[in-house]
Amino acid sequence: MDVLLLLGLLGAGILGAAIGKLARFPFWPLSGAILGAAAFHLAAGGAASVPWWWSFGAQVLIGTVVGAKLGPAVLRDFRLVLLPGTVAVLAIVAAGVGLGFALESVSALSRLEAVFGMVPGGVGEMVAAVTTLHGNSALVAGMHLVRLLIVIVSLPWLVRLVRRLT
Amino acid sequence: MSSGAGTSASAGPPAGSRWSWLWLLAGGLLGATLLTLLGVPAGAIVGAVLGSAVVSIRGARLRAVPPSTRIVGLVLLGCAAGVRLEPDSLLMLAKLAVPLVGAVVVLLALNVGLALLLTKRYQVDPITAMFACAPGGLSEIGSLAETYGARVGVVVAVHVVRVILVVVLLLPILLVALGH
Repeated sequence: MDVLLLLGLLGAGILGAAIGKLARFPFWPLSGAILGAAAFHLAAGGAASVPWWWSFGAQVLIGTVVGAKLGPAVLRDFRLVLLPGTVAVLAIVAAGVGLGFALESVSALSRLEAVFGMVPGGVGEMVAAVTTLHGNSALVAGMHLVRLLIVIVSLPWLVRLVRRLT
Repeated sequence: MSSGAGTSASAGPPAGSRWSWLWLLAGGLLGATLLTLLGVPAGAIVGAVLGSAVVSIRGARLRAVPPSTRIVGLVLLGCAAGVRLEPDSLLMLAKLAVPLVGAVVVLLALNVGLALLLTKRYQVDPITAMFACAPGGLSEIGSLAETYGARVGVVVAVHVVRVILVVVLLLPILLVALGH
C-alpha cells in the first residue's frame, strides 16, 4: 500500500477525530475518525485500505487499556457488590445477545453484525472483533454509537425516575 | 485508573517509574501476538486484554496506561472502519433505526429494572445502581456517575468486569456459535 495514501488516511482520521471532539460527537475518537477516513476514502476514489498491522496495533492498544484496568482496586470494588454486580452484568450481556438475535430476525443484518452490534461489551472492543472477522465494522460502530447516544441522553431522566421509585 | 500490586518485575522499567506502564503494553502485545499466532479468532483483542490483565494483577505499582493510548487505538480503528463505510452501510443503518432504537429502549428498561432490584434487594444506593447497570461506555458512564454523586469505584468496577467478561468469555463462545 502507498505510504502517502496511508499517511493521508491517518491524517484524515486524526482531523475527523479533532472535529468530532470540537463538535462533541459521542465517542469522538472513533466516530470522528470513521467520518474523516470515509471522506478521505471517497476523495481518493475508494483506493484507501489499511494493512493488517494497522488493525492489529489498534486492538493491542485498546485491549491493553481494558486489561490494565483489572487491578486489585477494581477487584476489591467489585467484591463489594459481587452478587448484585454479577447479576447486573449477566443480565445486560444476555439481553444484548438476545436483542442481537432478535435484530437479525427482523432486518437484513447478518448474525455477526447484529449480535456484535448489540452486545454491550465496549464499542472499541466489539468493533475490533468485527474488524478481525472481516465484518462490516463501520456498521457495527454506527449501531453502538446510536446506543451510546440514546443511553447518555436518557440517563439523567432515568436517574430521576429511579430516585422517585425508590 | 488502578494498576496491579504484587511482585516486581526483575528487568526493564522499575515499578512506579514514568515508563512502567510499558510493561502493560508489552503484556498486551505479547498476548495479542500469541493468540493471533495460535489462530484464535479475534485473538488480537482477546490476547491484549488477557496479557495486560495478567501484568496488571501481578505487576507492582505500575503507572496507569496514558489515556491517549485508547484514543490513538480508537482513531486507528476508526480509520480501518471508515475505509469500509460504504453508502450501503449508511442505508442499512437508516433502515435499522426503528428496531435499533427499540432494542436500546429494551436495554434501558432492563437498566431501570436492575437498578430497582439492586436498590431494594441488595441495598445499593439508587444512583450507583443506575449507573452500574447502564448499557453505556465505561468512560462516558464513569464521568456521568461522578457528576451525579454515584460511587464511581463500584460503577467502574462493574463496567470493567462487564467488558472483560464479554471480550474474554463471551467473544470466544459467540465466535464458535457463529461458525468462525
